[in-house]
Amino acid sequence: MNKQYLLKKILQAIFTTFVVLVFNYFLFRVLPGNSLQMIMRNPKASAEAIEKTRILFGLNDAWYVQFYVYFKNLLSGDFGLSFLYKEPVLHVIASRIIPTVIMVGIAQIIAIVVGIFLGVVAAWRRGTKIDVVALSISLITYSMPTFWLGIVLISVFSVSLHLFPTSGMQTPGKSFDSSLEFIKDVALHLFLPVITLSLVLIGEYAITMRNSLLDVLTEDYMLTAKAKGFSDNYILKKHAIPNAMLPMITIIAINLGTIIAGTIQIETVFSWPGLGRLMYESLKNRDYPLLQGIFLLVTICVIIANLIADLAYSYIDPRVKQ
Amino acid sequence: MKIKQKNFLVIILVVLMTFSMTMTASAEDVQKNSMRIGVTKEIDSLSPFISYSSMGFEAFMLLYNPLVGVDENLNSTPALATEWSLSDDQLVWTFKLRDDVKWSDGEPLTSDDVKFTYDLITKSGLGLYSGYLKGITSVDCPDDYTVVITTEEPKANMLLNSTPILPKHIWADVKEADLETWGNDTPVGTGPFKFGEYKKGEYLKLVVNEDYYGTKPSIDELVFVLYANTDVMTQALKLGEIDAATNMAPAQLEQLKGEKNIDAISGVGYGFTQLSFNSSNDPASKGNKLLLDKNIKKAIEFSMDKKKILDMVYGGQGTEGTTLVPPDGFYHYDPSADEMRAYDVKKANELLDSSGYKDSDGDGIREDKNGNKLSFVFSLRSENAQEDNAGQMIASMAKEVGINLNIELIDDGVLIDKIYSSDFDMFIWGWGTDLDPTTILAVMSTDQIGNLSDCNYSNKEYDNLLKVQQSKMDKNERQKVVWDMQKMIYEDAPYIILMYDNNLQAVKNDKWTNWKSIPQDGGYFFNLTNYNYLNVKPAGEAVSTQGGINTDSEKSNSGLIVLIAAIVLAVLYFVFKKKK
Amino acid sequence: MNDVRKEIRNKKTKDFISKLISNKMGLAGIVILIAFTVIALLGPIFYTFDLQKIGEVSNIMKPPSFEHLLGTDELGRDILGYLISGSRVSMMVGLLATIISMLIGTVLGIVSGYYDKNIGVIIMRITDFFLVIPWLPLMIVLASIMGTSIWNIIIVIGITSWAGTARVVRSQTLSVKELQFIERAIAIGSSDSHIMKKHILPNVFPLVIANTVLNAAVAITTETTLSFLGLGDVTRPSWGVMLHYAFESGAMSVGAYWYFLPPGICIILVVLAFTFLGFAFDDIVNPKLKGR
Repeated sequence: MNKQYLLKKILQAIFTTFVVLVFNYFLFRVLPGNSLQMIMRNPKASAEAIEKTRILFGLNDAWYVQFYVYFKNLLSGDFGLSFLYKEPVLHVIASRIIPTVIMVGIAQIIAIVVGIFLGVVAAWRRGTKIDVVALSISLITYSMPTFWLGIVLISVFSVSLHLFPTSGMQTPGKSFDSSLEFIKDVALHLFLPVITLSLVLIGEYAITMRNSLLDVLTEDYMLTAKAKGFSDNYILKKHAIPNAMLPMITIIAINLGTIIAGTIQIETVFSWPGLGRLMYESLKNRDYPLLQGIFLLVTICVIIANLIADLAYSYIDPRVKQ
Repeated sequence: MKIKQKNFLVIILVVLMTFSMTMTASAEDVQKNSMRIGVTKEIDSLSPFISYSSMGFEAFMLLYNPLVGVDENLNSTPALATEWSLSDDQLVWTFKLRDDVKWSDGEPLTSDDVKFTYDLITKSGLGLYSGYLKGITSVDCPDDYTVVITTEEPKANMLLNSTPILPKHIWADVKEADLETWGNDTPVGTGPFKFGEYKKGEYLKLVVNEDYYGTKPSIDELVFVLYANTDVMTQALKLGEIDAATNMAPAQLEQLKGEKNIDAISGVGYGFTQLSFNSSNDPASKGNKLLLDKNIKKAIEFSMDKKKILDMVYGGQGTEGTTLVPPDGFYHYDPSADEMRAYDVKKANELLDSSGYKDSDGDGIREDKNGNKLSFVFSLRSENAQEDNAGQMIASMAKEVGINLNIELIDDGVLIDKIYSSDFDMFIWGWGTDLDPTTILAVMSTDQIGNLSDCNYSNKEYDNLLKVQQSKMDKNERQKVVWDMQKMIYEDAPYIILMYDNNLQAVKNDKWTNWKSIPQDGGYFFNLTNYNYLNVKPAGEAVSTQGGINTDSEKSNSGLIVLIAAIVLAVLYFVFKKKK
Repeated sequence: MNDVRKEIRNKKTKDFISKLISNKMGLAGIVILIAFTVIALLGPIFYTFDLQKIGEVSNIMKPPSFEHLLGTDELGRDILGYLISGSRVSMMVGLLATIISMLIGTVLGIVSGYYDKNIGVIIMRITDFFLVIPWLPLMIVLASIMGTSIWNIIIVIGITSWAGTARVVRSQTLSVKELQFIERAIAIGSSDSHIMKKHILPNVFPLVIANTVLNAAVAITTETTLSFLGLGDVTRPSWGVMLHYAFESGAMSVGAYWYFLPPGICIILVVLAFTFLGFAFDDIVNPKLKGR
């Protein structure tokens, strides 16, 4: 992979980031709604208090002044103060990012492993009952709205069967005797949200893997390998799957956007204290600084993920060298 | 492959991080009396200068004390002040403080703290309590345990003010400019509870104040748990994950009625839900001018079957609304039989007919003599499912009398914008009120237009009476003035009060007993007193903190096993692949 | 000359349709879609449902009975009627949003592929940008700004989901562009728009259709999600709006499965149908996979 390509891709990523930054800023400012009035809509709140807070957040300045201040601060790592929590945005995000990462991370692992497995099995045994079953399961979970799946799972496993807690990340306010107990508690709470997200992703990964593997299997060099007398298993593992993985990498990276959508829904249904719910809450309350911070962070992650996928793809596949 | 391995490593790292975090979880005495209360709105800040939430209000009642408190009959009772007296000219109050109160950091409470608190709140104008202190001209401390407060005019609500007294030795170091952002993350107070832990988005934990000067609560640990929706919270209550739930929906209350060990109540609350009409006299206002005719508004009220709405949408939990000040206090005005606008479709039609609104083109909607249709934009808050449903019912009822209400479901931000730019016709929202009627009466005053007023009502006579009632020290005299004010509002109808909200709460009585509704039919929590927090007793032996899921080793292991299995699977997969 | 072309096109279409029907997935997809289209168009006419007609207090959240085959909701309304009239809204939104997204995506895709060096690059950047922005937060924001009337929702979905189509069409255009007959057309002196319309478009069209069908599935799911989060049009309730109210009214905890299961199942069926169709198109159109 040559340096020029690498450089070009990185520059593109930086440029996109910049565009996103600007877009990000204006997008939320155009939202109707006076954030402070919303937060302080309480008959006991005085007009002076609201005015003071407006000045504190610079909301009385002209728009270009606010814009300039925003960018200046951004360069020094200051993402501003959250309206709702009156704390630096980065603090608020930091306190909510781990639950999301844990849930999404585990779900991704499960989904990738199971999805690839299902896809391989379905493709290899194309046309048989196994294929049909695997494909059907994948298609059905792929077609389900994420939140609906969450509701159904809670309904069955929490409400009816009492197997799992209905919400949250841990039994609230409980003091734990040991860290093992703590992990057990979190694991119990993690189960349903993770399963929901995994199921949603498994469908997509399985179908992609299946299609990609089928593509590869019908290639000429596959026939060649078979003619040469290599065993099915060997072909599968040494040639087919590795080559079929390429589109998978792209999908996994690009999927970040879908995952965010899924996360917002899951965190809402399960009251999971993560970034998705934080984003939704800050949107409802017009907490611009927090909104901008989260949106920015998320978009940058997507850009980086895409960049890595791009580079990895071109590194692995010698054919792709634009 | 490289990317996946990278992903995998990152995940492992995160898991390890979490693990190491948990190493710091300390072992604590399991035999503690803890109470977990489910709430749906979390506290926004631990600083009384920044918080504007009802949860904040409730928490400050537990962390701090005011000069004068409120007992279970909603009468004034000594708190930090043991006795008080008023001068003959009614302008000078003298409070005698307790001499045995300590701050949670050991420092003693003195009158300096009171003076400091009142001065600072008044000067900064921030927070929920600054309104209470209006009219105070000076606070003096002749000695360590006496406070003398002088007011400009007689101040009728002096004893109703719940302003928490803050420690001077902590807050004096906060620069005034920082008051708006200093979070008070580890509050120091004199209240029955001390600050324990605050996990944003999850819970607020308070612990009992062992050195409290008053009745020490039996609750060792008090946790307010935040739930994203009431459904999930009700499930948690049923499963024993929490011991009490607040702010529930009517459907959930119904569900709980049959459950044993759960007391579900529909307590009379401090608040109402109303229809607000754009009553602005300003010609530049974008609201539909037809609504300035109070006969239309009155007709809409006649067409509303409030009882049916209450029954269907609120499960019958609530009282049909009439005037501005809710009935659970001394100041509510009951309209006379002539004034009262009860459900009467005939009267609605008659009123509209006699006011000159007829349906001339037969489309079911009345017009005025210039052909303008009685068709209004009805904004409903998407955030509140009940207001949404109630609105749908109201629209359907208004249709019966020839008024067309076009529903739009919008979010709070959009609605607030519309209110401030006077670009609305009508909407549904609600207010929480107070023991002091001034709080809610003030919303209708002219100088709240552009601030708290959400109907743009302006009436000079009303404004005047607002000032008058604030200095009527005699309760009966004050009541008369407040009644006149409510009559005015009822007649001009900028609001139609749909209902007085009930507090839907439930508690598990197998863990804690001695619950009391306050006032008589009121709720257990969020009722302007901290009575229940101080007086509930554990049912039976000391209860452990082992609440929640069946901690059968079988069941709790299953979750862990799945987690391990997933990781093992992943590891196996990579190992398996590498071999070939 | 034109007659011959028409004949060929007719034969190709008939060929295509017969292949579609013989493909099991395609058949299933078509059957389901036709069923739902009929329900959506004719259902509300035969089985009337008035959203404004509030039921009686005694009749709220009741399980299925003879009178109400799918039970009632929290305001006593008939859920089956709600479901049927909801089908009209959901399908319409899905369809229209997809058409908008397809139009924008195809036009931009072809243009950016054809004018690869100049405008093309700019369009590509914009496309990339739209691919990178997380769609749900963006849509939530746009819906908040523009309001939640049904038309605004359609527009919002349409203008945020064209990027995928554009990218696919662009790469197809790039390869078609290299084909011999295009070079010949340019040599003859055909105008750019003529080439794009008459030569490139027909060649990318099958791909666009396959992609569009899959997009329709996504559009429906998207509308459902937005409505669930409270951003739908409540005066024209769709399945998503039904689910929103089901969740809000606590159907989950009272076990009112008749309220939240039917809309979900309908959505799954419709999305599956579109997905099947999409795969079927893929199978037929994509020569490499003829072996499947």
